[in-house]
Amino acid sequence: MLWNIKINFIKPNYNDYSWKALLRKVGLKPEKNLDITLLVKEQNKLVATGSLDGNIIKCLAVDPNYQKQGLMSIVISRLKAFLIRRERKNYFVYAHRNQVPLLENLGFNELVGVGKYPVLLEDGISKIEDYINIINSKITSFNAKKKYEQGKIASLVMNCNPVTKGHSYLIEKASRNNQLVIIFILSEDKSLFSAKERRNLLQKVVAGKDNVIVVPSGNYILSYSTFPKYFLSEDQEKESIRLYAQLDAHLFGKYFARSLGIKRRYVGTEPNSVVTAIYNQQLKNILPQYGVDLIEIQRIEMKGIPISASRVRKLLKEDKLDQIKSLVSRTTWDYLKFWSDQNEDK
Amino acid sequence: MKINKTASSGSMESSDIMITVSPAKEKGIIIELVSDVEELFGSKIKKVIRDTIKEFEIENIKVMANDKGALDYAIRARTKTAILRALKECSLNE
Repeated sequence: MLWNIKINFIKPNYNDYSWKALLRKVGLKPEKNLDITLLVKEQNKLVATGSLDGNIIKCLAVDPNYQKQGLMSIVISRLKAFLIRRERKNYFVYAHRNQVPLLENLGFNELVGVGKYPVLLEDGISKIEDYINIINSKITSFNAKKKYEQGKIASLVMNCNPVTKGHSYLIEKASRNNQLVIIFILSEDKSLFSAKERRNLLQKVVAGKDNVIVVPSGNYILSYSTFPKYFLSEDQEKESIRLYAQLDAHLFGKYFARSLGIKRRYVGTEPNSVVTAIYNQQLKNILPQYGVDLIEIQRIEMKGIPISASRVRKLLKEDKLDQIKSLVSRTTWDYLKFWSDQNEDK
Repeated sequence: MKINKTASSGSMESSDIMITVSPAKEKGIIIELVSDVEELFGSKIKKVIRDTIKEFEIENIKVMANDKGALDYAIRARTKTAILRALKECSLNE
């Protein structure tokens, strides 16, 4: 029994030797981008720790010599209370396979896992089933209005930062060959354009198509929670990108494709981004296990260069607005002009 | 009475219970209980939680309870504190 433990929340210190050593002991790597770290010390010796990155619990470890004494319960209880105080409706933990039984006992449910690490677990007031129910009812009411008949359901997952003719082309292809197209637009506010701006522009682009519905991707598809590496561009370690991409693909197949009856997923070929290229490859490997075909569409080009949102952003940055005109739709172009005027004033 | 936000109290340490309350859309008291002693005391624990909530006359509430063998008075105290935290903007040292 431990009698003399001290529990403290601290600002993460990535150089703390004892912290790094404890993580390595249980087979974890120290992560960066943490908001806060909890340290549990027994007579000045670090015996347990856990950290938060948004609503994700990471770097969770209990010293093997101090296990079975309730330290994991202490760490999880404190972190959970911290998250609830910040009004988080749900929260995740990235854990080692060995930690899963203990975490399940503390209220977490395993969503999906790849090998020994990472295994993604979830807990909270509103869980993945609740989110899928919301999406499902949105689709049901959309179908009721459009008199939709049974047929193939396709899906796209897009950031649209901002929406380009490349996106429109992909949507057009999917719309023509399927009964219903569900577009998941990324909910994460970590892009140049806000989630609201991106969604509004996309809505205008798809307004004329009566078999295309736009829904938010939420916490579970290409979000910071399920695929942090997609948003942390400085961290380009290929092996770990691959693991998180697999996790994301399994989540999509196991939960979204199965419940919503999605049979196809469309992506554009990826010439530039390493992360997206790896992601597409993993989708191709994994989605067929869930009865979903991945359809890769060759990107359309303008003057020999593929149209991409990153190209548009680069031109915006260089203030070459006139060159963007041929890459985006009329409504997007109008918005970008307005946007760049506004940002010039700042 | 009505609660407007999510709040919690307690912990999942041995002999304690962690209670999380949040507003529910549907009318009624919904209790999700996970307990090491569910088979023996599950209905009793739920009754203690339910009775404590009724004292506050709250009608729409969802409760998540993760029990590690807490005794009745601990369950009552944790439930009460969670509700008070959910009712007030800032109260009771957390």
